[in-house]
Amino acid sequence: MWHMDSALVSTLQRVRFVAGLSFREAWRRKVVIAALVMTVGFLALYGLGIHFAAEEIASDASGGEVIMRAAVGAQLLYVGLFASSIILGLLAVLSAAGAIAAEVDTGVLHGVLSRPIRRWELIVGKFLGAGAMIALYTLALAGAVVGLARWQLHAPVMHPIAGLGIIVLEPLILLALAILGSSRLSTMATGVLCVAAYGMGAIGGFIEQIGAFINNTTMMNLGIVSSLLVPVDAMHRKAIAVLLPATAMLADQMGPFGSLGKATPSVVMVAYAAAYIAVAVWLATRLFARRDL
Amino acid sequence: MSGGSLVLRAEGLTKRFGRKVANDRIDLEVGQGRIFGFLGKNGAGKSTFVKMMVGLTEPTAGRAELLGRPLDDFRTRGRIGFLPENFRYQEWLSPLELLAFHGRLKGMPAADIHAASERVLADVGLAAESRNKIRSFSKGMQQRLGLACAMLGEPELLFLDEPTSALDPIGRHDVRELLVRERARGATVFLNSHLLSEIELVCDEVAFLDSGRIVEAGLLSQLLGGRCEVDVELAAPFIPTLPEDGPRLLSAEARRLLVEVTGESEIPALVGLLVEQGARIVAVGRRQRSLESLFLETVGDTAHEQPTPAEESRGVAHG
Repeated sequence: MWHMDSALVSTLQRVRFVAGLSFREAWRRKVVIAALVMTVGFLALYGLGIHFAAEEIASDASGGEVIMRAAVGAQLLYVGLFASSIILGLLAVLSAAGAIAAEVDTGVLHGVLSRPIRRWELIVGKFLGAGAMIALYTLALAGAVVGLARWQLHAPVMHPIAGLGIIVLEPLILLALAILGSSRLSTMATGVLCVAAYGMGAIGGFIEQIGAFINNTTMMNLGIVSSLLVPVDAMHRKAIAVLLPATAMLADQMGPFGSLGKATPSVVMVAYAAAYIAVAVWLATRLFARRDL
Repeated sequence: MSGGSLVLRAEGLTKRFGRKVANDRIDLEVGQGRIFGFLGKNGAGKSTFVKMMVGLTEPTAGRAELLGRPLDDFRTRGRIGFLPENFRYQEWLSPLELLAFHGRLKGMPAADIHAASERVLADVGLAAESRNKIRSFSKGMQQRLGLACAMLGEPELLFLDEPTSALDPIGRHDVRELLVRERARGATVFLNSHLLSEIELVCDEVAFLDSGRIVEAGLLSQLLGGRCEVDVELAAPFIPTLPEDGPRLLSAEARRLLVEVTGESEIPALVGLLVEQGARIVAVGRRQRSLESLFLETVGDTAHEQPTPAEESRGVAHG
């Protein structure tokens, strides 16, 4: 009988089976297709904007072409990454809010979890499957945004690989949060929670920057606490700081995703964000371990 | 094959949800190669028990063993199959893809999964649909698919929670045949149901669950055959003399006797005795207790299923 072989299936294999299924689900449910269509539209708009900016600058005979190109390039790259960050964050939340919750509600998990698989293996597999899809998508989208700005406008990109690596953390943080929420709450509650957390992180980052600007320690501390709670915005600011030299900006940005020099997160914050993801997934496995299904 | 070692043993198994007791100190043993019927009204706690068995819910107290292993050993689940009451599968997969996933989780050799999947799909009548997306399936087809999924890889123990709830009479008949076939291969089938006539047709053993407690359990033949009645029609009035420890005279009308025996096998001897004593018998009829009347007696008349007209006319002989 088959059961003789069940010992041969290792934890790693089971995690891989679930991850493979989650990855395939994103394709089959046309989540990726929908996102790609949206992305192509976004990149076309972005590319056109960059193209006309480049033409305009080239026709300018005043001699300041090189500096203009760099400044406009950096500005457009900045805006492109800001828009990408929103698309990626929403994709992560929307694709994962129901990862566990919806399958508990419909009963799909009754069939899966009655098989010889531990619950934590299911959670980790789901995170890795969706995470792989989102990471690939992030690299493609943010890579295209950076590439277009560099190619058309010679935007002064400093460390593209490190920058993209940090950008990938943004949606992965939200994905981990969504998996955590989904392991205990409903799909709807998880979605609301994650979007609210995303917004809170962004506002926290804003407060921190204004605090840095006017030297208000309380505001800075508030921002730091919000960055610790939801380090998405902190990673965005860090990525911008890694990608673009501060001098390339037309003016220091002050907005939800601004990058005022003084409030640039440190490398420790990047390590914190990576650990944050691991802890959120671990917490999800703990919350889900004893839940009655 | 049958009646061998125990495949399921529960001792004092209890599940509480807050203040509600869903399963109350359940003691249960199921032998290998049996079709075991777990009966009860809706909400009696049947599904909770099965969910504890397959690892979806943790017991609050008590202990249980499946196939000789403690309940919390997740590897045992590679040897069981489960059809949930709320059967739903990843609708964006095809049956073959779904079964491939389950086969892998089960630890079946990759080379065997495809053939085994096609076999169980054919068994449940879904061979022609094996590559279509599950989202296009009717409820009945999804339940058949769930049954195929449960039977994949020849499990030693099958838990089926209301396996015919979405099926038409022909589908129900097919499922009964499948269960008998699974038993013939040596598998044990644990069947949750409130469809008594169905249980009566296939089960070897039953237990009645009422408000989370087992109120009656045993071999179906004993539970039903224990008090078989014999209806004797006579050409002329006659009062027999019956031995102390044998058949019991329930009633004697002018030309009719109603005698209770402890089993069918006693009927020939009873008839012989009556003839010996001079009774002129015209006809002998046997009235077996139905599972339904037994159910109504043990669980109470608030049972979910209403008696059919045929049952009513027969009456609840031992109310």
